[in-house]
Amino acid sequence: MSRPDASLDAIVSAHGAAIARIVAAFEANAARRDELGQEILLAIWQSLARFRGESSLKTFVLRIAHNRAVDHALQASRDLAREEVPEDLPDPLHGPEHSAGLQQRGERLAAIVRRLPLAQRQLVTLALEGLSHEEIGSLLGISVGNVAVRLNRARKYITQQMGETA
Amino acid sequence: MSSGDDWTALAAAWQAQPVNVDLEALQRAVRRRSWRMRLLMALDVVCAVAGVGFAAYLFLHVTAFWPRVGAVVGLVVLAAAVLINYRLRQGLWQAADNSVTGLLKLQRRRCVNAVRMALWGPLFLPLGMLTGTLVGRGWTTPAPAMPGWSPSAKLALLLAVLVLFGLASLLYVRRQRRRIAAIDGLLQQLER
Repeated sequence: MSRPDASLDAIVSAHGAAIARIVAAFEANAARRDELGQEILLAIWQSLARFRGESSLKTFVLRIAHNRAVDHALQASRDLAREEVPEDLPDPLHGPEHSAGLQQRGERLAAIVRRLPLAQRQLVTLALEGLSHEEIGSLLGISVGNVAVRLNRARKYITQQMGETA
Repeated sequence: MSSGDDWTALAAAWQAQPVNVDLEALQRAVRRRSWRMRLLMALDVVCAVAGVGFAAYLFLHVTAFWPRVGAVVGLVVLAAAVLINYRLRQGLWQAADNSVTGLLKLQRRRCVNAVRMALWGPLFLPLGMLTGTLVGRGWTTPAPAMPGWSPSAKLALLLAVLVLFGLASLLYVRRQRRRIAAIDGLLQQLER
C-alpha cells in the first residue's frame, strides 16, 4: 500500500472533521473539546513517524483519536459529558430545510452517543465514521462477531432514542 | 428498515454534524506544545549533562575528601533521578501499544511509577541536601550564612520543609491511586 500524504496539515484537512466529531462524541463542554482536540492532534503528530501505510490513514487517525479520547474520559470521569438529549428539537425529516434538518439530526445523534457507556461509545463512533467490523475489532481488541452483536444492540438503542422504529 | 439502512441513515446524520472545533487554532496550539516539549526535553538533557560535568569536575580537580564523596553521591542521585524520570515519561512521546486497552495499561504503569517516585521523593530531598553539604565543605568561599537564625531555627525550617514535602507527596500518591482505580474500572468496562 502506498503511503498517503501524512503531514499534520494534510491530516487536519482530510480528517479534521472526523476528529472534531469524535471530540464531540466524548466531550460536550466547548473549552474541554479544544483541550481534547489538542491532545489528539499532538498524539497524531507524535505518532506520524510510525505510520507506514499498513492501514489506511483514516484508521490510523481514528485509532489515535480514540485512544486519546478514552484517556480524556478517564481524566474527566467525574464530569463525563452526559448531557440530556434535547427533547425540544423538531423532527428534521419533516423540517423545511432538509440539510439543516440533517445537521440537527447529527447533533441529536451526537448527544445520544455521548450518553452511551464508554465502551459502546467507542464502538458506535467508529462504526459511524465508516470503519468496517474487522477494523473496529482489531482497534478495540475484540472479535468481529462481538463487534456485530454489540453494534446491533447499540443500533436498537440509538434508533429508539432517535424516535424511529428499529 | 434493515440494520444496514439504519447505519447508513445514522452515518449520514453523524457526518452532517457541524464542526464545532476551530481546527486551525488547534493546529497552532499543537505546534506550540510540540515546541515546548522539545525545549523541555533539551532542558532535561542540558541539566543532566551539566550535573554530570560538575560532578566529574569536582571528582577530578578538587583534592579535598568530602567534595569528592559529594561528587560520587551526587552522581548516584542524578543517575537515579534520570532513570526515574525516563521511566515516568515512557510512552509520553509515543504510546507503546496501538490499542485502547494498551494505552490504558500504559497509563496505569505510569501512575504506578509516579507513586513509586513520590514515595522515593522524600528520600531524594535529604540526599540532595547531604550532597550539597558535602560539596560545600570543600569550597574555599563559605556559603552565605543565614544571619539571625539559630541552629534550632534552621533545624525547624528544615523539618518544616521535609514535612511539607512529605504531605505533598502523600496527596500526590492518593491522587495517583484514585487514578489507578479509575483506570482499572475502565479496563473492566472495556473487557465486558
